[in-house]
Amino acid sequence: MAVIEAIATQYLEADAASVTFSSIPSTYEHLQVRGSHRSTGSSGGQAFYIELNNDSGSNYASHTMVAANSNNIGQTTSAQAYIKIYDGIHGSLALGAEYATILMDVNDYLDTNKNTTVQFQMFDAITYSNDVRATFGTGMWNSTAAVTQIKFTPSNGNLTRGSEYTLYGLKSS
Amino acid sequence: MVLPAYIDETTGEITDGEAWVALASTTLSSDTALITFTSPNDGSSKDWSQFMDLVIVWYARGPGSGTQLTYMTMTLNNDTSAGAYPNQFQRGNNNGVSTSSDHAPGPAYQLLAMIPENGHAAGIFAGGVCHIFDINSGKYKSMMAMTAADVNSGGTGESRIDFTMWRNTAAVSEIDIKQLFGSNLETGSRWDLFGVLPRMVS
Repeated sequence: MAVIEAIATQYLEADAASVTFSSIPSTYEHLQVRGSHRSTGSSGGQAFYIELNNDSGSNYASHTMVAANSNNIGQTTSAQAYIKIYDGIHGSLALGAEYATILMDVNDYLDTNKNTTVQFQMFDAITYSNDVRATFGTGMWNSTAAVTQIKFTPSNGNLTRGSEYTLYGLKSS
Repeated sequence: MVLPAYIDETTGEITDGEAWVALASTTLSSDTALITFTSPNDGSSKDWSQFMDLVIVWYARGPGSGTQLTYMTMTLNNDTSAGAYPNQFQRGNNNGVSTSSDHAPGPAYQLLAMIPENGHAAGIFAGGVCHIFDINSGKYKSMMAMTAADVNSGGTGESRIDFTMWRNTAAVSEIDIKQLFGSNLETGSRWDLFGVLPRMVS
């Protein structure tokens, strides 16, 4: 029995407004998303949204620690319609071959006694000095429902062709 | 040739098994200057061309008689050209939290980690994990390295996270790890390389 399995991979062959993993199986203990992405929006850095179970209510919060050139930044959001990550992805102003990165863990995603908390590391626009960001953060969904769907959306423009996300399931035995 | 784990030996059909594949492991039995991992490029279960990402899990100690930290660096595909590895990092130590970037154009190597010099007490190593994303794409390659370098003396330890981009669109087929100035990495240092598969079956 595999301990880490690839549940699904989405590799965009054309620009797309968002990427959604739906009908996530309930056969794992934890989830991880590994991704490489970019937006078509005319920006260096721009916000990135994570929505769970198609819940667009004001039910999300986030905290981030951000390295931005020589600046340390702490940010928080609450009562959002998604987990909002400021400058979590970059747009068309960064070099064309440069894609941002996300590594996100969703631990204990089936437990219906806890609100779901996610943890992520991501960085973008390394060569675009105005908006280079390296982010370590967390997001909370104010719901105890088991996670069955994860949706990624850039705040401006589409996800660019070549963006890629793979959802992994982790088992403890 | 050993078939990739996602191919059923009996039917030849593609399956989805363990997503992380152990590719190589090196533990130094003597002080060594250069650690190299290469893709076998043979279509086997360890051929890097099938993986989405690579992950290096490591534990290392550096050269020198001092009690500072020293630079452990990494290059891809023997690319040591100036500006090939722009980066952003954040670290915490006894001076607080600091962050900096070097992207105009950037160094000729990736700073994989800061590791203890050999003047520290025996047994003190730094440890960490480095992720290399979408290694076979036509993108510039992104790397995320997290380091724990606690030395238990003099306040010279630190924890840090380094984000680096390899300014090259080639598929990754070789990784070289060394101390920045070519000194030996110390006996007992260890690097384990894993390949991370995407979903193989739709």
